[in-house]
Amino acid sequence: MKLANKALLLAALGVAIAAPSFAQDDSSALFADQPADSGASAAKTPAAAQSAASGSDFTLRLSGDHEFDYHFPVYSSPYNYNGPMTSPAFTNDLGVELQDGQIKLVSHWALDLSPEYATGNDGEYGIGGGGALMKPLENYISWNPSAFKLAFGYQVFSWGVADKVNPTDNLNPRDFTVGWNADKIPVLAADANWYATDNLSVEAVFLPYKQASIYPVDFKDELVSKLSCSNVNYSSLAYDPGSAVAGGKLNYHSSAVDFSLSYLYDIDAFYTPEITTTAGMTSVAGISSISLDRRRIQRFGADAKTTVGKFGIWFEGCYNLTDNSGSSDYSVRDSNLAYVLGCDTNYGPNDSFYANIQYIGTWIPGYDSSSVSDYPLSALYSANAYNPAYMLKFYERQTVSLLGLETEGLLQGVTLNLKWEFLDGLLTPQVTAIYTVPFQYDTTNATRYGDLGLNPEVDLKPVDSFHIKLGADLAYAWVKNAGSDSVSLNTSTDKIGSYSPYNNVYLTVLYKWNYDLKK
Amino acid sequence: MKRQILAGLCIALAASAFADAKGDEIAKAYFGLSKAADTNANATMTLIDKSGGKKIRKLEINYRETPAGKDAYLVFSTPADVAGTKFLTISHKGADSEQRLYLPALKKTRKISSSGKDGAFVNSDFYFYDLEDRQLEDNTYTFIAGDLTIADKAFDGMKFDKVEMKPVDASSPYSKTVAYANQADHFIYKLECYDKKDGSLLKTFLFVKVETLKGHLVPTQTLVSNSKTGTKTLLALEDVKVDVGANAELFSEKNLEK
Repeated sequence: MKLANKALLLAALGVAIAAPSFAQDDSSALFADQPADSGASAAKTPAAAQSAASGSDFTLRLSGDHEFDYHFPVYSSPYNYNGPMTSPAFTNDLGVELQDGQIKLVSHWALDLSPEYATGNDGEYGIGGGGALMKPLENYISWNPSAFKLAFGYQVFSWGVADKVNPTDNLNPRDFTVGWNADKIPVLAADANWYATDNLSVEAVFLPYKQASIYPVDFKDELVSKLSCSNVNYSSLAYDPGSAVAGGKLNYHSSAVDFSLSYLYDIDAFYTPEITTTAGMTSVAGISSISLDRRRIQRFGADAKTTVGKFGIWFEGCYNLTDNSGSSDYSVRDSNLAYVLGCDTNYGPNDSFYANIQYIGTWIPGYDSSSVSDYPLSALYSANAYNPAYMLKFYERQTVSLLGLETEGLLQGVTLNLKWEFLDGLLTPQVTAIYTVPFQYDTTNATRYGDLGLNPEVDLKPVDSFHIKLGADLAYAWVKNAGSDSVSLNTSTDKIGSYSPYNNVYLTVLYKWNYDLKK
Repeated sequence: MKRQILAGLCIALAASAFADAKGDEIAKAYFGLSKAADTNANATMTLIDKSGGKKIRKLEINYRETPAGKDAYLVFSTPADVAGTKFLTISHKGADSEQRLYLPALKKTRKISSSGKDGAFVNSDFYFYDLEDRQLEDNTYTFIAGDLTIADKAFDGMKFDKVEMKPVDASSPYSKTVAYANQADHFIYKLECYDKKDGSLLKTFLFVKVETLKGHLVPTQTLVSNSKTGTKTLLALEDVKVDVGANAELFSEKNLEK
């Protein structure tokens, strides 16, 4: 027994003696599955070394984004699965990016699967049918010699410094059928950047043709139903130089401030109705035809950004000059000034704790804010109805601004984006909201109390690049109709409110991958 | 009695003066080490949470020394969430660094604030402050002890001088940093960083593997442990190249957009 005790004691002592040597840390063991050798090289030829220092000569990246979306309608028009905004969908973005020296080739394609595409799409964008839609995304080639970047092909541009609301960012049409956070549609463009100095660069861009944005409503059908006119047609842009879009941008950046000035000779994203009336004189001057045209618009943009302490502060504005010839011209919508003033900050231990707030607005000098009050029934049920000139002006005042979504002389609002995280990034909630209030509009039929867009979302990320998101797309607009004491929801005409019937809670499952090869 | 107190004070003052001089001498030896004019490497950053879960970030790093400090150009390749993200820091003497981030999903370069020095770099245990270049005059130095060892196999056979460094810069997230400088090569292999908020130990840096490249000491394996969160970050460099004459265009905004 004593021997056994002794043995135990010795064993215990042995452990105790051995313990210190095992107690010593070995930090290098943590790197056991890291590169064993740094591969340090200091004896390359100068040329090889130079190219290595400026990045790899050849890189190939294959990438994929695979996203499944399912929406649960929450508004009073349940199960309204009649558009991409609410249809369950499985979308895939497959890309190849290849860089060899100064040449870069980018090719991304979308393959989307959804019941929405069972009957094909409108033919404007992508090839669809049988529940599938294939769309070209970015497909371009670029040449990047020292002071230049020249690119040609289908491209996505991103002008402006503001967050999501970018008045100067007008080169790409949008697909609004997926909601107010619309996707950009790549455009065929030649783009040239000249980096004149470290601080100054100039960009020139040319689009031989710019396709229209895609909207969840058909403006032709809207006019047919509202004006009792069956002869409404879209006027297609000709594939000739007269339809080209061209612009330029001057960028300056320094440690104190970044700013840019831009100009774009553009085609309007919205349609302008060209109305012809019947002869009148002995009968009411009705509408004989409406041609929906995309007219010229010139855009003069500016933006600036600086940082003060932990805050980023920015301004972005754009004056959109139409062909409107003056206050008595109702055939073309008015020019407008759109602007954003914002700031952001990271307020937590890492960049997942982010907040930004923006003041946004659109001002339309000389906006026609009496288009309804100027036409009481007594005025229309009179000899005026037989006067083609009078009735043409009436028809124009009821349609031109409305089709350009110009429904007030001054729109002001606030946007907010707030994001934070829990559990080492496992859960990241965020809220995006926009609230706008209209001023200087015709209150004859209704008083409007503003629009609210709200997108709360929780992102669960169990592993890198795999996300399960649960969120809601909510849109509201409040209105008090003439003669009513109560405020109700406007779900048809207000900018954001028109999306109300599509309010939904959604589930998104997203997986991203990439494979890089470098030589 | 008064004499004894005065004598004691004199001895303490003399010892203190000696300690500061020695601290300065050790710091000068460290800051006097040659630095690579530029560095290019592929880096693997492993983020380890307190329960041992790992996340991997892979990036290409490029540094260059300028009279104003250290410029950095980083390109992320893994995970796919951040692949293609580029980060540029340009140092300015006596002013905040200029930082820009290129986000491929938005196709946008963002000018970002560099004043959030206690912000975590890509959710790691590195603060943005840790990535900045430090100069001799950025701290005051006090010698604490010599001939010390670090209880870690990675540092077997090394003898260290322990020096306390107090930042001159009020924006430092640390109240002080204790450095362990190797007596043989003067390189600092361990840093203990103390929280400015409460003075407690916040982070420990261990430069686990340091290689000599073209005569420069370059840490190729770094371990950062956060004592408060229990998290760790491993930074391992491979295919390291130094003094290859990095293209100046690499450290410019235009390179972010190409």
